[in-house]
Amino acid sequence: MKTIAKIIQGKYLDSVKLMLISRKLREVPGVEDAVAIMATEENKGILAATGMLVDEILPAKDNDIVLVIKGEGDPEAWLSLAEDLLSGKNDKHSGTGKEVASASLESAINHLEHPDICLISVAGKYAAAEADKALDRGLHVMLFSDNVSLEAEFRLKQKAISRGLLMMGPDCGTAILNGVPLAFANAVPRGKIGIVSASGTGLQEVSVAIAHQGFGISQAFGTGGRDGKEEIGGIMLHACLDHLIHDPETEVIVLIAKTPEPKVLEKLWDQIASTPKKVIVNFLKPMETPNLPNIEYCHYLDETAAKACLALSESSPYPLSIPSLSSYVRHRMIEGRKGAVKGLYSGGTLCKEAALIYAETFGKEPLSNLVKDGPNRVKDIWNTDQDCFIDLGEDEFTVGRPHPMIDFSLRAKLIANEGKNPTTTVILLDVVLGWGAHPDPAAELVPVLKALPERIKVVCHVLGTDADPQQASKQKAALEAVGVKVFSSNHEAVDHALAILAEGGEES
Amino acid sequence: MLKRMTTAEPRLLSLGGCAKPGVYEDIHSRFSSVLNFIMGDRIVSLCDASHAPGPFRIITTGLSLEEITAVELSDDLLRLNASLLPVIVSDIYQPPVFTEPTDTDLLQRNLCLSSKYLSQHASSDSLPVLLSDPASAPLSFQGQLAQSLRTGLDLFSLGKYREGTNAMKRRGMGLTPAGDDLLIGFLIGCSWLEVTRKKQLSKIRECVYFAALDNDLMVNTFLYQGYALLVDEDWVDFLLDLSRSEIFSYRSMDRLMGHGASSGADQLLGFHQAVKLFGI
Repeated sequence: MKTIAKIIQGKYLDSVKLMLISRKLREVPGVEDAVAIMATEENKGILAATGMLVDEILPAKDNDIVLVIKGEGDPEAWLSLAEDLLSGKNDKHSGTGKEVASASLESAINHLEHPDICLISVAGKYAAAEADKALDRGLHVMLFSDNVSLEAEFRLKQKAISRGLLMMGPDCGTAILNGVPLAFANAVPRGKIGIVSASGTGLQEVSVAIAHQGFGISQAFGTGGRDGKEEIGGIMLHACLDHLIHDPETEVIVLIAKTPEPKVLEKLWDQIASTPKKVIVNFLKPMETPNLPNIEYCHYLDETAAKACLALSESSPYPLSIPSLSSYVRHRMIEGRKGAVKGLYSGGTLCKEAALIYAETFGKEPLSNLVKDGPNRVKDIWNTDQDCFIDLGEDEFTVGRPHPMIDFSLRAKLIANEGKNPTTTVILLDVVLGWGAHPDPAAELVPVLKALPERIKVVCHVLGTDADPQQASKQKAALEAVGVKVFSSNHEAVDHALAILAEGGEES
Repeated sequence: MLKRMTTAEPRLLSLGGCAKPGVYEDIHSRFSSVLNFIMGDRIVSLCDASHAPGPFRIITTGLSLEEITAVELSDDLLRLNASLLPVIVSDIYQPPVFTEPTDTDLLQRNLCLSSKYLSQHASSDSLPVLLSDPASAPLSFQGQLAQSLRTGLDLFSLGKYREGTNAMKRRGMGLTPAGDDLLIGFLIGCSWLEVTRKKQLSKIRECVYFAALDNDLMVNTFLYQGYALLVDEDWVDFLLDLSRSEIFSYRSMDRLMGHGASSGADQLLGFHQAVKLFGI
């Protein structure tokens, strides 16, 4: 057993960095224990009790940081890795030579040659002020932050429109502008389909499905989920739709939103009626639309993507398919079903779609946290024997912690918890890939999925492309290796999960 | 081409009520979003807008903290290098005076929910997880740390507060060692129980506070905040939520648990230890 240690003087590293360094070093093969800690006398006492208080760090003072690594292997290599971690060389977000860390909007503007868009992700209470500043400086805004008041959203959107600027959000998680993915977005090719979406994961699901069919995206705008409300008046839905109608690069338009308020809806129909371009509309539930020749309506996301591709297909060499609408599940007798399905989602719209498919299949709403109150509101997500769909991206789970597309810890706990639940038959998951998402979701999920009892089947939708940083096929293979049934469409994954349920826990 | 502005507009968002007028030039520590200045035997933190207002925090926007070398504070002006920011009364942060909750059953229920939520949602590096895992390898740093902290808590339950504090202080991972965070939370719990539940805990609180003080001004400042219940806005929201929320929202807990790598969760554990020990 070897121990190597070093004193780091005159350097303050925040707690998060110290923890990460300790954790990463402990993951190195051969390393038995590793810490980067303040050299207090008391911590030295603990190090002594574990055989890690070596001579090199005895002179360390209270305010110094000490790094101690113990194990079998190459101590010099460990130290070299530790120094890289300390200096930030292993930080994936640094070292390109092009990125500049700026502490203020002003400083960022001064560092860039021609900035034209500002992505804002700060605490909600400060977000509107930052968006104001960005708009005042002539920048389009993508407001990732939430907890912004409706009044502020309306004011900011009015200001943006008066200046010919975009104000996407608040709570706008996804956009692809001029081929550049912003926030949570996937690597999809450029093409002739334009998207306006009030839903982040809805936009991701459709853009990825379009990519899978061999087509591409001209622009994909996010508006924030509240844009269609009466208080906002659909300001950005109208503006973005108008842009795509007049955009020569866009031949087919996709519009995704929760059903807008009647006045907003009326204006959207008028806009669609004014263009010869085909518009595929998805308001995330079945509904009637005006009898316009260029409207196609669907309430499933994969069907939305397929219809958009079909509209372009006359000149396309690619084979096209429109998914079946789960008829084999819908018509199945459900009396024989056993156990419960637990949908643990990171994407809100994917969760909503899953609950919708469930309701259409079984003729009743499942328990979920998608409704604020009432009998279908899940009371305790840790303890329910009924079918249940949880959106872990809801505010109740994300205030003060990373989004579940980044941090899998809560979902891992819930999966492990379901493993102990004798009534759970199927666990249904989404794994959202792309920029902004976790660098290797399968690595987080595999250990907890492996530990599940055999009676529980796991069905997973991997949302992503092979061009995404996580590589969809690699993630799929890793999950399949532990028995997970993986689908590239949420709709298909839900169908399969419900089919298992209808079969009483046996896969067909 | 889009118009580009070059005039910076720094703004003061919140001035902690405990930041005294004066000139601060001695820097204790510097991070990308926080610059800690020495103010006598306390620390005043100049922070960006990602931080909640606090009694010892100055929150600004539109400034590059990396470039700040000095803070000069008077009754109505804050000078940061060459930037002069007006101070208005509404910018000054003072935690509220906590009052006695009227519905004890609601308080008891929310405390239970909060304790359960902490044990289920705390990060794997935090004390709520470390101390609940009896299988920590005894010869690892974390195993030994867990053993020390359990000893400290056992001593607390025997009424040996000085010895318990000595078994926990200055121990653990993090810039503010985890044991100190636990003690800070314990002090917050004691102060809060004294104010809102009329518990006679002043001697215990003083004993823990003075035994925990050490030579790190940052830790001492946090300990003082716990001792005097001069807590930041995230703590205020949590404490108020405990007694006013028919449906406990967890949002304030989530924000607290986002403090540092595990500081918030470790402090919450200390708070719940105080509640468990002294009851409501």
